[in-house]
Amino acid sequence: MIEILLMPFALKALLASSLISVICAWSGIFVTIKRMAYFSESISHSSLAGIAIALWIGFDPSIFLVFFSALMAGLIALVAQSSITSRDSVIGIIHATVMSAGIILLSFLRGGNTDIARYLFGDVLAVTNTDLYLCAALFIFASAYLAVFSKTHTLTSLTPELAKLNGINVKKYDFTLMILLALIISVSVKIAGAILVTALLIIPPNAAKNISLSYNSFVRLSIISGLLCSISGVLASIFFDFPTGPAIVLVNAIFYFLSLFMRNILKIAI
Amino acid sequence: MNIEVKDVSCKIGEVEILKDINFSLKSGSFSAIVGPNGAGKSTLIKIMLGLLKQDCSTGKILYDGIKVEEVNKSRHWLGYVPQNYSFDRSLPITLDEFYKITCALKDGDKYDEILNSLNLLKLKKHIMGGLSGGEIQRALIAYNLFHNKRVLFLDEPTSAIDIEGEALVYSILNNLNKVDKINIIIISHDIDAVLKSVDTVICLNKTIHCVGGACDILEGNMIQQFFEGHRGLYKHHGGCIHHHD
Repeated sequence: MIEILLMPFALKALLASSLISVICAWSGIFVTIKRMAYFSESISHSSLAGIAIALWIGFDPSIFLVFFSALMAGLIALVAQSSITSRDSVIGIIHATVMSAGIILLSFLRGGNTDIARYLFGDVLAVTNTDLYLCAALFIFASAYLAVFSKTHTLTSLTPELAKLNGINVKKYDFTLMILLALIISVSVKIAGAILVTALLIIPPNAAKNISLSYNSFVRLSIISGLLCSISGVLASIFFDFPTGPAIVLVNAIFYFLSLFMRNILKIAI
Repeated sequence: MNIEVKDVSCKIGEVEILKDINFSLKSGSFSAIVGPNGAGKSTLIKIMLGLLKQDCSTGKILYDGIKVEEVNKSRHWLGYVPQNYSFDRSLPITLDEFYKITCALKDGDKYDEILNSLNLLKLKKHIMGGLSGGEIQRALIAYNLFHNKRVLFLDEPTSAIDIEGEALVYSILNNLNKVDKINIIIISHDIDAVLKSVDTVICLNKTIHCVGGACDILEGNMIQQFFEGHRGLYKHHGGCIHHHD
């Protein structure tokens, strides 16, 4: 039974999901503070259109998605900043437009159903070397970015007006965060699937928030729980033959409800 | 720091929020902007802070002759305590962590000294979401002090706190003004409290109705005339304190 974990597909799956879960849980801190869950959901759902285009033109969907998602985030930021429409509405409009285009495009594709199902629900057990390199590159880039700019993003999230008075370009930082999230989502789609990837961004920080008594513990617990839940999900998937994405999300959800229970037991009152 | 507000007007669509605002404030002044609801007080201080420039306003704001845009870009002299500091109160962040994340703190002794002067030292390890309105106001004043601000704007600093808390806030502001020589500009509806502390009053209702020394304005009955149509806001006064240069 244990030998199966030493097989290349299992090692790749564990490594890829670990890298992705750490970055998702870390960046998810800002998704939670800045209430960007809807944005993340839209980018992940819209990735279906990106996959459809990639399959249509015969390009590797994993690589194509990175550019497509960044473009989507840029488009949302551009329209939101240059119109009087609220950001939520802009996200809704662009989300619906791109999804519709993607669904129409998918209806023309034949024989691509297996690939589509993989991207819809995630299939970390089918991670390729290209996917693994993408995960590693994303992990290095996103970790470096978050290590350097975490404080600035926390400042712009907590006190945007006061940040402006300290010479910080809040709009620029909001834009770079949106692009970063889009890149993270585009790479994570292969692990958890377009439908479920937002869960990796929002469940670990919100579970950690329930039982943390300081910001430091909030960040650490979010990353650790994201990582452990992801590894547990992959193991459950390997040993019990569950679909991987949903297995990872369910373990995260169990931890979230457990944290909610602990919050009530410990009577954490904030 | 000398502050000049020159020809400031602000329109949102066809609605005129402020019209032809001109005044200047001396270095080290403690000023109050008073006026009824909807007079444009909060808009004016946001324009003075350079936070609304692109949206609605024309005119110039100068700090020691330097434009507000330049001040915000490279000098960061301006501090602000908003009326309603809205943040996610469920976020587990202690006051200590908030300062360590948002301020470049270097001098540990000064850190504790400032927190102590604002009655915040014992709250250092408390979660910010659990602090009262008055404690949040003082926490934001401390935030501005850690950034060595030279001008501090406060929008209704005592609106959400009790009388005891109000006295503490005014005593802190007086101290910052007199000892640290920080220019202070507040918006307040509480004329009595304002007149006891400030040396300059600006009466605003879309345009400037009066600017001058607190006592001159009060004793010349200007403020009574200004609030004639808003009697609910101005009922009585306990006199003013003459400020001498």
